[in-house]
Amino acid sequence: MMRHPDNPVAGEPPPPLLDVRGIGITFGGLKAVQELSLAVPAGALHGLIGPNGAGKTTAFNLLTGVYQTQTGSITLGGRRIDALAPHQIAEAGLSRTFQNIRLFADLSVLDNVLIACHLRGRHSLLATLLRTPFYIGQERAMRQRARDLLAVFDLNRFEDELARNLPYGDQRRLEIVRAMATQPSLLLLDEPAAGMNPQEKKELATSIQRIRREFNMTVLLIEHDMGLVMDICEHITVLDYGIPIAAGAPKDIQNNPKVIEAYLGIVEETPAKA
Amino acid sequence: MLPVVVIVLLSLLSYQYLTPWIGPFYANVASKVGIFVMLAASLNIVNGFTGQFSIGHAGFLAVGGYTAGWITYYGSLYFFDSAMVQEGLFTPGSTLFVAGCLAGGLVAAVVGYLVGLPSLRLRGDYLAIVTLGFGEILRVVLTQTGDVLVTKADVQQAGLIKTLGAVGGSLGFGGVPWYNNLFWTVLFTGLALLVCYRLKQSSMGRAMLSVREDEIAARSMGINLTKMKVSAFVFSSALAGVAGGIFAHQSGNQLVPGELNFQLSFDILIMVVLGGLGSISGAAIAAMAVTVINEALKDPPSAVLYGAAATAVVMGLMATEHLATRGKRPLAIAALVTAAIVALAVGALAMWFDAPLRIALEQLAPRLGWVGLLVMGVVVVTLAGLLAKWRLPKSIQPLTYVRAISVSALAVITLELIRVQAHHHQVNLAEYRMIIYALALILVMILRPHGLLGLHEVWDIGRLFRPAKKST
Repeated sequence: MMRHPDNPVAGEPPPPLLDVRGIGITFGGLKAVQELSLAVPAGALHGLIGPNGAGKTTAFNLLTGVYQTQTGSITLGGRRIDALAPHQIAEAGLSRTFQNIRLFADLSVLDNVLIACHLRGRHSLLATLLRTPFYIGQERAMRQRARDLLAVFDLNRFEDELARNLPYGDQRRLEIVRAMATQPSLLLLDEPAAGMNPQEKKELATSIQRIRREFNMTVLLIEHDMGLVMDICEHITVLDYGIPIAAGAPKDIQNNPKVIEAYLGIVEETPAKA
Repeated sequence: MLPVVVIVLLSLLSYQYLTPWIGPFYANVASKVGIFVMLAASLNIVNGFTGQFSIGHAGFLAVGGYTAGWITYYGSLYFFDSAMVQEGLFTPGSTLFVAGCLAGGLVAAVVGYLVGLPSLRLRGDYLAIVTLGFGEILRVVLTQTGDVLVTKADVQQAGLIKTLGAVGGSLGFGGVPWYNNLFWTVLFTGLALLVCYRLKQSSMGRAMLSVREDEIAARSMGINLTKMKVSAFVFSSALAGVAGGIFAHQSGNQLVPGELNFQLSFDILIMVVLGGLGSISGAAIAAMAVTVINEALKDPPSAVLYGAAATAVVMGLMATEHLATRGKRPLAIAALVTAAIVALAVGALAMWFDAPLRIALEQLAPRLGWVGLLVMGVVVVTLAGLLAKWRLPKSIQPLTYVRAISVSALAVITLELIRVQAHHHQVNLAEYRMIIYALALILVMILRPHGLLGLHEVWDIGRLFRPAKKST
């Protein structure tokens, strides 16, 4: 495993944490995603953008095993994950948030995070029912970890509140906390800023950069809000009609004619409209 | 360890003091209630925690019951030459009974795994269909078994294989020694509830709840859906198997395939759905209520006083929640205590005044025809429904109480009219209990889709009184 190489050999770039090669899926006749390749190095903040219906969320669903890719391969930290079930992919170190919030609405905020901690614990039915010292210690450690994570987004005060009662922005933040609780090496954020006001978006951008630093996490971000993506991402891949049309640094993307065309439509070659 | 000690003490106390005090009839009823509490709590793990829909719980009860009954009966014949009950709490015979119950749980768990694994891998309602089919298949298979062997010589002559099949056929497995008493009922029920509660509070329990909440999110968070569902199902089957073992040894009970049918599964299901999907105490209370109502319907008391007691409890809880969420803790506690006292007082009054009240009300009956009753029933139910769904402005709190009182009053009047009329025409309401439960289910599903208590436990009301967290 070469997840976080301590001293990468100079001149030879370390292998990317997430290596996606030519994945794709077809629904009936619709080619939702085609020939998508991505390389996300460890520690990067990578953006995936594209107009509505470009296949961004489908790409996430392919990565997280909700759909199985029909072509190509997905490698995370040197391990093939494209044939695994979603829970095995989570175990391999890939966690996600959802574009349409999917919290455990009728459970408490703390329970939402604790459920995501389940994966990294060792649970036996016998120890659970007998309440062995090991079980009690583990439960206590899980609670502590969940509270620490909630503190990152200042959600501690809602600990006992039902998730459905949180304000919208906090629900989005709770989704990020929950995803982080699985201790991923790669965090997939599906439109984390959707429905937020400019102030909240700014705070979110700071938070994302902070968790990335503090938790040594690699982030792959889908976002509609170009401002946010251009601000915080180091590398951007643009999808249109399921096909990657451009990749590069934010500056290059902004000026890429193909991208402009995808977002704004074809620019007519008439001088009047220049 | 402390809860286990408490449970053992309670079982000893109920054997030593409670049983002689209430007499054999009520001890028997109490044991039956305990068995249903266990069954409801176990089904709650599948239907409440993981949100699957199993409707063949009687099948697992039968598996456990027949296994335990077989072990005790033929074990007694083999080892002691007679299947007579041995006097005393701890005898070689009762050891066999406890071993039989545990073995029944084990066999039920294995059967649960075989039934659950294929159907829980699929999505949707397959589990309901498969469990329904399983219960029926088992029932039919059991009716085809051979006659019970009555002497040790018969058993030795028949050999193990034939003896395995000698569980009485459609006539039932008679002769299982009735070893169960309140000691074992309280012990096993207490342990079952403890185990369920510990499961609910644990990481595994939360993982099961996450499956019910949102499967897609759960598996993305690393929860193995199939494993969780199957574990819950196997665990639930095992508990039902143990309950079945106790059921088989309960005095007055006999394992008859015809009685371990869909009706019984449905009774257990009603307890879980009414009490609260995911609430252990809710399922236990509903199990008690349903068992008591089943008994009470044979000669129903007047609904007026008991209805008033129930209304007092509901009003008290409403007031408590209202006051506690506004930080008025002393008042909230006062409301709760007052409600409890009023309910108890009215309940106690009912003991004395129920009989005269019933007679007075029954004078009414000849004046109401069936048609009049039907019309009144429709009017009352419509009014109650309208009231319950009436949207109130948030500012007028007292109106909520007025509404609650009116709805309860209407419900009580309806029940009373039905009772009086049934009494007059000498209709046995116990035969129509499924109609009553069906109506109750419809009402609960409309007003509280997750059952009366939902995910909560009864003692969660204490949470209302805790000082609120300071918001920053």
